[in-house]
Amino acid sequence: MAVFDHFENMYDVAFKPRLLLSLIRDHLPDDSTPFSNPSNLSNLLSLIKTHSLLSESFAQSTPHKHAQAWKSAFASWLDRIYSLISTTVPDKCWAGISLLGVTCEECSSERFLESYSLWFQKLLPFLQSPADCHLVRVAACASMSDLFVRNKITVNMHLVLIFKYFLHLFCGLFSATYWCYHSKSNLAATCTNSLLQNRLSGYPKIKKDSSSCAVKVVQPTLKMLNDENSEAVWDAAVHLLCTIITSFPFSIRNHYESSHSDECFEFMQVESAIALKLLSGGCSLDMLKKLAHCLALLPKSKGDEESWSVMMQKILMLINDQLNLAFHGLEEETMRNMVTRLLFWPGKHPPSPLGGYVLADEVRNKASNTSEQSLMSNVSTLMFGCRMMLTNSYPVKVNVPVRLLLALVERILMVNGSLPQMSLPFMTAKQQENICSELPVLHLSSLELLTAIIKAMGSQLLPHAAYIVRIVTKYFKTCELPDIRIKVYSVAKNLLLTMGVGMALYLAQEVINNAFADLSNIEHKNGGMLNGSNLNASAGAPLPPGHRKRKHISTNGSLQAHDEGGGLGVEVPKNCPLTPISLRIAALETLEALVTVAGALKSEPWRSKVDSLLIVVAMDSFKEGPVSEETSMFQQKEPAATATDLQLAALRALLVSFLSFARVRPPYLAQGLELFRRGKQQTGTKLAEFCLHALLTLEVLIHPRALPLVDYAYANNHSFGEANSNLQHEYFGRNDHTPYGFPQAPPDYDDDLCARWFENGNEADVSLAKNTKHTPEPSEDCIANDPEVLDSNLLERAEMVSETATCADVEMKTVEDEINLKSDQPGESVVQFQESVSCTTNIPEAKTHSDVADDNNEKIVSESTLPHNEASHMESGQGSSVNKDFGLAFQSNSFGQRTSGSSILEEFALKFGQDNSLDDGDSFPDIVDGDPDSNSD
Amino acid sequence: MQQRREKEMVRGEAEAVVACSDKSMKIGATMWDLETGEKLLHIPTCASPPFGFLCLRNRFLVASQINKHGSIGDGAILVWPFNKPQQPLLNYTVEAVGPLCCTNDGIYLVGGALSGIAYLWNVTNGKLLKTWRAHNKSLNCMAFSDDDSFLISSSVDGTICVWSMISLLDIEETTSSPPSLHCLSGHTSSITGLLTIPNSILVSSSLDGTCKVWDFIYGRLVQTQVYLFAITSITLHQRERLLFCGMENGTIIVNKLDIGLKEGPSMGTVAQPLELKGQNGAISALTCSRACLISASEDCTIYIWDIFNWEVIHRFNLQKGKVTNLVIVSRSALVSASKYETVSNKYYVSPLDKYPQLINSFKGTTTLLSLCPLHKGNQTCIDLRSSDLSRQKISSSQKADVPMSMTIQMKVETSIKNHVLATNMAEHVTVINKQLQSQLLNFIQHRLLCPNIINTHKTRRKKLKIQSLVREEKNLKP
Repeated sequence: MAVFDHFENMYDVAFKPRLLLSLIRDHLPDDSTPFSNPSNLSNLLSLIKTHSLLSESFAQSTPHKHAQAWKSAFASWLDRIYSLISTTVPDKCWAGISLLGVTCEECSSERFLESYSLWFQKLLPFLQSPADCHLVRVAACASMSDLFVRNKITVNMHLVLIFKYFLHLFCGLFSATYWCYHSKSNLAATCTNSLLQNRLSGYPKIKKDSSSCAVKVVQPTLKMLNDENSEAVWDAAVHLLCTIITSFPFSIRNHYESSHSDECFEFMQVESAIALKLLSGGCSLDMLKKLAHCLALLPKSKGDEESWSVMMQKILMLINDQLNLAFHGLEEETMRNMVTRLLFWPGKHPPSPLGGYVLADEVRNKASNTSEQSLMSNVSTLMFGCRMMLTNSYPVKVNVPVRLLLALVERILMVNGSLPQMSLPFMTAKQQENICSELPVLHLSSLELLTAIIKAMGSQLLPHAAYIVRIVTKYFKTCELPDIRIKVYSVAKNLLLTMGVGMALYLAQEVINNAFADLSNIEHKNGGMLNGSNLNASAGAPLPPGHRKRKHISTNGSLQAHDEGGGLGVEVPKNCPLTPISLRIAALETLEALVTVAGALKSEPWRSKVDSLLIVVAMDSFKEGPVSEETSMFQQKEPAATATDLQLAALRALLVSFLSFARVRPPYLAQGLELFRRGKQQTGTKLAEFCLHALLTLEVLIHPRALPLVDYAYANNHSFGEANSNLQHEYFGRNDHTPYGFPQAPPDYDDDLCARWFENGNEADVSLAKNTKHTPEPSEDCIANDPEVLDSNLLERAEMVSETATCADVEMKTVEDEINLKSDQPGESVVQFQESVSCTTNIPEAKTHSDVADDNNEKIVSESTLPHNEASHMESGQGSSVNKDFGLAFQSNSFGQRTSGSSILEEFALKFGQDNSLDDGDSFPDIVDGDPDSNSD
Repeated sequence: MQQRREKEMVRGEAEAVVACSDKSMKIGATMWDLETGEKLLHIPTCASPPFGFLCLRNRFLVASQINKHGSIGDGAILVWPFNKPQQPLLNYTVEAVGPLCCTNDGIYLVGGALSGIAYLWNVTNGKLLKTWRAHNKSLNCMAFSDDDSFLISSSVDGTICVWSMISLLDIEETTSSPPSLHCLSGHTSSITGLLTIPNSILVSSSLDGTCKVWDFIYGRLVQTQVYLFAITSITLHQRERLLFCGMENGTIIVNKLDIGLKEGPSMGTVAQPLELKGQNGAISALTCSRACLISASEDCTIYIWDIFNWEVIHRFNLQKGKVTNLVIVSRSALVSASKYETVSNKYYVSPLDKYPQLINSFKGTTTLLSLCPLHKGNQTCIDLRSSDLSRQKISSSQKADVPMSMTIQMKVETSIKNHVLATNMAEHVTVINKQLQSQLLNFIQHRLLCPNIINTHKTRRKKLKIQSLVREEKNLKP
């Protein structure tokens, strides 16, 4: 190579073969030179990957010279690797094998297809021969799995290519026939045909080859798993097995199909090899997880529904066996019996135990001697396997034994280590100690399994949702360890997010109780001392409704008092949180999910409490913000969660609580905005990023914009007055409820119609308020009670209220009506009202109504409410409720109206009511019963 | 113009509308492209009652079939995959099912029967999960809340019930009449439409001429809108918050739905809202796509209105059938579903069970649920093919069944028609007979009661006759 043969730049193709050659020369060990330094090798690898030295990819225009140079460089690279592999020195051999793996990953696909069988032959002996040292075998396994992964990719690519060529062929055929027709040339057709044939003939060959390769590897790998005793080798072997199962699942099955007995034997072999490793103990936790993962993947090699179910059942049976041993004397018989009943269906033969009968017996014998610890760790590993089976993809639809899984979870969660009176004499304190030491891990893994079930099943879990709620609420009350609580929170969060408001109705109370317990320990300390100083500080805050709210809740204690002080930089002594940060984060996240989902539950009593709690927590998180000692202390303990994470979680929850207010302006918006602005200044952090986003989102809330409905063609097509009334409608809706004094003076529409509109609105509201005073407030009761407890009594009440509500409607109208009459301008609402009467004309008997309607408005009111009454009677069908209803209806009817002659009218109306009811027939007798009572009213 | 073009660019995938009638199986369902007005698909045998037609996950059309003439026999629910509309999946139900409704994820399907009993299936495995009495009168409309956690049903007597899905499906709750969360009463006549909006808002319309807005979690009435005529159909344009009310007289009233910040019940008085006129019969179905409103009326016409300038873009005619259902589907589903390579068949529809499984109780066996790997890609072609094969198997097993039953049903229908005609005739004849008889009786009575008057009349007539005869004779003589 010429010394001054310069190339253009670092992207030049000429540069790559040069670099590759010099790398081979300088960094790769030779036959003669000893293997100097492994760090050299990593340097070499990084260079190869950054410059993609093995890819042999270049543009079409590249001079032939460079391409040739690269090719030869690659050839010498391969030569060197081959020579390394064939040496007997282990570390050189290891280097060669590893580099071959890298080559598999990096080389071009043409090159790979060309030479993969050769490479496979080079690697295979290392898997088969037991003599080599562990290092080499591990490397061989890794390289082999690299080879298979690449093979899979290439085969898939090939498939795509073939598809493309198919399309080409069709186009080609068309053009070919066209050409044949015109110029009698067969050239095009033959061209495309031959191309396709090449490809097509190539494809099955590759696929078959790679499958047969995979088959050859399975046996040696199993052997390694059985014979070797180094964990590194097991690890590599399991990895290789997983790769084979995921990449070429059917290669294994095809092989088995050749001879039936062989199949059973080998399938059991794979299964039992893994099961043996799993159950025999002596593996690290990581290794156990890998084994479980491989076990979970195993059904994929068959890919049908049956094998998945069988594998699931086998694992569950094994878990059940182990639990029976471990929990002996610790749990009630009913739970155990239930799980067993669910596990073994009557009339169906249970599958053979995991790993075959021999192994099962062996394990059972061993298990009776082994300690509880190993039993427990086995169970949690197997549960991990269940989780993997649920969350991994599977090609076909499968049936999940949800009920059984949930029963298993419940069974484990119910055991807390306490001994029933009965089994006290049979268990030593030492035994109890052993079990209790392992129980938290078991609980954790069963909660994780529960989370996996929720995530995997999604809304299909609905039939079991009530059952899960029962489990979770029961467990939430008892669990105490922070780690477990975090998991329970995440279960609750997932439940809320998947099931929506319906779930919130059930879980809200439990979540809130726990979150308050976990989050508000600060407030107990600081609240008292802050009470005095904060009141005048908060006086400046322009939040009239907020004040009202606070006064209302102030009986709750120091929570609000504290928060008012917080935002204004009152010096607060450092608090020392008792609950770990990660637990607080989990609680905050769950609250966030709750508020997100349950935005509709706006009038729940807990809602205002949660809002105030969130702002308090957010403020506190800022106070401890820059302090480094605390965070570092926590970092040592739990590097996952720092104070910044807590801050972020608090602000996230706060934002959601602001946004989910549907009707009212959030009371703590001002304080919250200040926090977000402060957070924004910590530039470069995740917090600042989030705060920017939050401020952008809140902008709409701060400056509510009545966007003109541009496309909405009212303004264009119709009179200006209509558009006006629309706008008024909007203001009308807002003016009395927005805390931030919305424009009191109406916008400059200079007709008095508008003013009257506003007036009417207020009037109507006042009358409304009056009305609602003497109606009971049912909604809270209804919600607070479980729907199941909703007896007929409650239903009745709900009906009554809804009915009085409709009465209120009508009455409101009359008030409006009167006002309009006073102002001597028959406005629109009058017209509307009359319309509402005439709208009943579609009911046949309403004609006679309208005759009466001309005389007096009150009549219409009483009449038009009557059908409501009837409807409710038909609903409740109880004689007792009739009287009440009537009483109420008439009370509200006569409320604030002239009472003269009303009883006559009522009677009159009743008659009409009877006429009405003739159609339905059912309610007729009811009304007759109710008649005297209503008269007495 | 520029803006318009941009808008068109962001409009997204094209949509199509499917319409069907309940008059006769022969009319079937027809699909039109919304933009071009081109007829895309015709499904020959379909007759479903109002709200009995829906689109599952943009993959399947589902329709309940009803025997109109009050026969008590089985009802049926048909499922057409978009890629093979010629091979529907036929599911028989215990009784005729009217309104249907499905969750957003397309996993649960609810059907309401005329008897007031509701049926709930899991579509993916076909299990009938729950059967319960929802109303005393016949069910006529159903809807799921926006997060699928509540089911809302309504009846012809004007009652609306809210059900929590969790307590409804609770396995340990086995009663046939679970308590509802709320019963909303206020409408005095049959409900004609239910719409749910996020934050637990429900809009209901009724033949009594009112539209009510409810907070269905608390069971509160929020707003009442009163109209001149009975409302026969409603729909909502979600983005613009426009409420369209189809009236009995064929007009559509466009309102802005302003739930506002108010807490208590309020009366929405609408000052001369925009009215769309054009159709003659009562509006029987309304639906809204991104940019147009589609209205169908009893005069068998379907109008497509531009939402921005309220012009009619297209007019379609469903041959001689009152349109009962309009459903919007996206065209891309139709196109991509036709070549199954590109669509991952992750979503299954299994034949729906007719009866619930008896051993579904707490103590029995495991309840198996199907797990579709919904959130995973990476399925190989072979797997896809195999899953498709299994589905083909199902459909082919059903296939033999379908045409037979369909033809039988059509025959039955025609024979029923004949029967009705005959009975009508007979009734008519009996009425005539009765009238004749009564006349005869009257006549006889008359005769018996006052025979002398008749006699005198007779004699008088005789006399007259004689006189006249005499006169004639006299006239002839000269």
